[in-house]
Amino acid sequence: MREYKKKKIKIIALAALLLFPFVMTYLSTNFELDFFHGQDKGVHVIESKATEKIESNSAIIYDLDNIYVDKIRIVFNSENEESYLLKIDGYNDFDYNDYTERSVSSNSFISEETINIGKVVKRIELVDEDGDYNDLPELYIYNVSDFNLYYFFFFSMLSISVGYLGYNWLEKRLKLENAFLVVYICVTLTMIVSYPKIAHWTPDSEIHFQYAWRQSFLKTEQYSYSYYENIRVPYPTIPDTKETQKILDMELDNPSNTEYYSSVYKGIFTRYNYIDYYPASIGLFLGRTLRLPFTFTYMLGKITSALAIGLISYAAVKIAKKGKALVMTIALIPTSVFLAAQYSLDGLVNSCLLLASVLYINQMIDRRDKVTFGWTIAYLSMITIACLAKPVYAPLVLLPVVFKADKFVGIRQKNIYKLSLFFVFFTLMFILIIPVLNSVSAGVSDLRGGYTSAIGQLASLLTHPFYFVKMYVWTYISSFGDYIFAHDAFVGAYYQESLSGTFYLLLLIQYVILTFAGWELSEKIKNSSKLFLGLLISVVIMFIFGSMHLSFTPVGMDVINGVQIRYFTPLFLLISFVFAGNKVKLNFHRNNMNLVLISISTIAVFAFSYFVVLSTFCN
Amino acid sequence: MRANIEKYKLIFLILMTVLCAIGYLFFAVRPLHTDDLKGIASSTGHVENLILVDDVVYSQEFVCQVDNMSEVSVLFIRENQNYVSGSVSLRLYDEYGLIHEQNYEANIIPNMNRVTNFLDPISDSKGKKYLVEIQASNIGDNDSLGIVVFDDEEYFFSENGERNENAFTITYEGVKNDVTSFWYPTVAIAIMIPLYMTIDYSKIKRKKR
Repeated sequence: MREYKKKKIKIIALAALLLFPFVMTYLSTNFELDFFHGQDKGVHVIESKATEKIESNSAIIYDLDNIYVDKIRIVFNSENEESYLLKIDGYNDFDYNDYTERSVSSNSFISEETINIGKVVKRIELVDEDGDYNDLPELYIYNVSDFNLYYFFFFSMLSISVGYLGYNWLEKRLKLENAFLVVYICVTLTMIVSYPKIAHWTPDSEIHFQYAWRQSFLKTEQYSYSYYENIRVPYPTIPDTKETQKILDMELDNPSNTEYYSSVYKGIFTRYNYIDYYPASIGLFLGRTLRLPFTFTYMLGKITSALAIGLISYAAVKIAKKGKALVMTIALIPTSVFLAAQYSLDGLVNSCLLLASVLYINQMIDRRDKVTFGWTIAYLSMITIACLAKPVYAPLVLLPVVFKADKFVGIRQKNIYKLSLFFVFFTLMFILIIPVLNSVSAGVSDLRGGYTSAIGQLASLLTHPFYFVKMYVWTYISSFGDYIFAHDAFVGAYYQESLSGTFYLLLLIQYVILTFAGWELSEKIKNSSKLFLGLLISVVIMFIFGSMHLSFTPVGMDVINGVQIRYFTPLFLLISFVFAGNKVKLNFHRNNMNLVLISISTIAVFAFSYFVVLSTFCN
Repeated sequence: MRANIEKYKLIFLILMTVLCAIGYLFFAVRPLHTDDLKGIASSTGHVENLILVDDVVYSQEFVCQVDNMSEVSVLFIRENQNYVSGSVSLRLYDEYGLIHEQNYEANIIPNMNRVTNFLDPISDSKGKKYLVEIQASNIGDNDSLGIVVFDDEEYFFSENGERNENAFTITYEGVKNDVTSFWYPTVAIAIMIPLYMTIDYSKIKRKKR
């Protein structure tokens, strides 16, 4: 009888999960237009609807009869790139006045753009920003209810994740590492598919794409118009609707644009700072070899990169002997997952350092574990890969210095092992020093920061040592609130909307609870070891500030510029381990607790994908 | 059985060390023994107030100070103008005429990038006169390439700290290895030392007896 009931629940749940994507896609996209504004459906030319058209020096005004406008389609007539400002005066859902402004720019690559409005509009003002009012664009009201594949894909992936978690929970075999991998793959795929195929909306993403593209060629790099369009910054068009995305994709995939028309010799030697791009380069290479359209190749580069990151994080969750839930929580932090689904090195750095941290913690909590050949290779290679992109994490290579003698073959070998770690540390630090040495001849360090000069900065520090120490101490103290556990470290997307504070709090609470109760240590970690770990973390934080101070802060400024929150994410697990205790215990059934914890992370990361990516670009 | 594993680990490590040592010699030691290959990024040349407009040729003469000249590069910063149509030609002449020509689409040159012409190394280039020409074509009516350079701090920033835009410098270099190239074998050897320390040598000896 019980078996029968269980089977019935499963069938009903399966039917619900199959139906869920269709229903949710309809509710999120077409429901409002169909049920509340059915009379306004269709495509209308705005000029023909205009009752009065006043041309003045400042704007062209179109009066509309309080018509519901879901989207406005703008067809550009100008051959040059021009910017316009649309001032939209209308009513919100509660019939109160609602005024918005939106700038649109004509784009030499695509001839039309569809922008998202979603309200009843009284009138529209069009301001030509260069004031000549020649070759004005044509405006159309675009009220069409059609199937939104992006939303459908998102809700299907959510369905698969929920189905996997629910099924394994019912069967009482919910494993965190497997659940992590399923949720991670589903959510990164939604982010990659929904994101515009233009590398612009994450900082320096176009630069990362360029490097990945370069490394995907063996000897001679080749370039097409689609490639240049992709790395163009700032991009004039904001593709916030599926229609604009479709037109952009069609142009990017257009054979006349994907043909290679120029090539540059690069040689087969790869500089160390480009090695971390290989996971993405493999995807780009595959895409080109298989003759896939440009947008698919672009996505495939992201997919292989995200997959590599996912597998490293999966390994971290799987091998963690204690604190598995915490490792999973950190691996599924929306900010990290978002960066993993972009052309960026941060995802790889985060996952490699997460695995290295887990390897270190496993040794710390289990006396029987020995420092083996395999462990050393895994630990050092993970830190080296991370340091190729961001050498500031090099001090973490010294963590095994606190290991006791019984972990090694003999006392002498232990001593040489520990000493040699310092040698590894200095060779890794060399990466940090090379650019500074190079910049002595180049004069400036990082032009994005303004008038920066590493040597100038060092000279300034030597002449004002007291103020230098004061600035660093204050920065260090304030960094915990401003950077390390800040909102954007968990749910921020940089230059784009961030997710609401509620999700940040949920994840922070989960992190804090798991820090104090999730480690379940069987024996106490020595305070001196924790102190050393805390010290190394502080050194890494100082390195982060120091490197940005030298390379990104103009000489003479009394604050450090350019430090970003994402640099601190890889330290989360180690910071938690410093405060790890075994006094508080969570007294839940493992299967249920796993479900609760992974559910919170899943909800947060899918909400992030929905609000920050999907609803921003795919309406 | 266990002893065998330790032995294989040792053999593997020794092989890797030999490989790294060869790599180290190849990348790092070789250029240091060749005085003329030390890679001097020698003098820079400036053209003041340069705005690359359609079809105007800018030229810069220089005397090479190194032998084995293998590349001539021009540094570009494309500020404020991120999308420019047109193309740039870089040509290198010696006293007998054109020896190298390369055309680039303007958009190929990413911001803050060095465009390099790779040459077959000219063995006796030291002391000889060369001429570099830069020409832009098919640029839109109101556009310029807005090329600036950051190779020379004094020149790039004027006294009040403002950037001196619209200029370029030319650098040329002798054959040399990338400063980063010997980092690979160095870090590999560094990582191998702790790996040697994880092998239980006593077990290998016991097997031999």
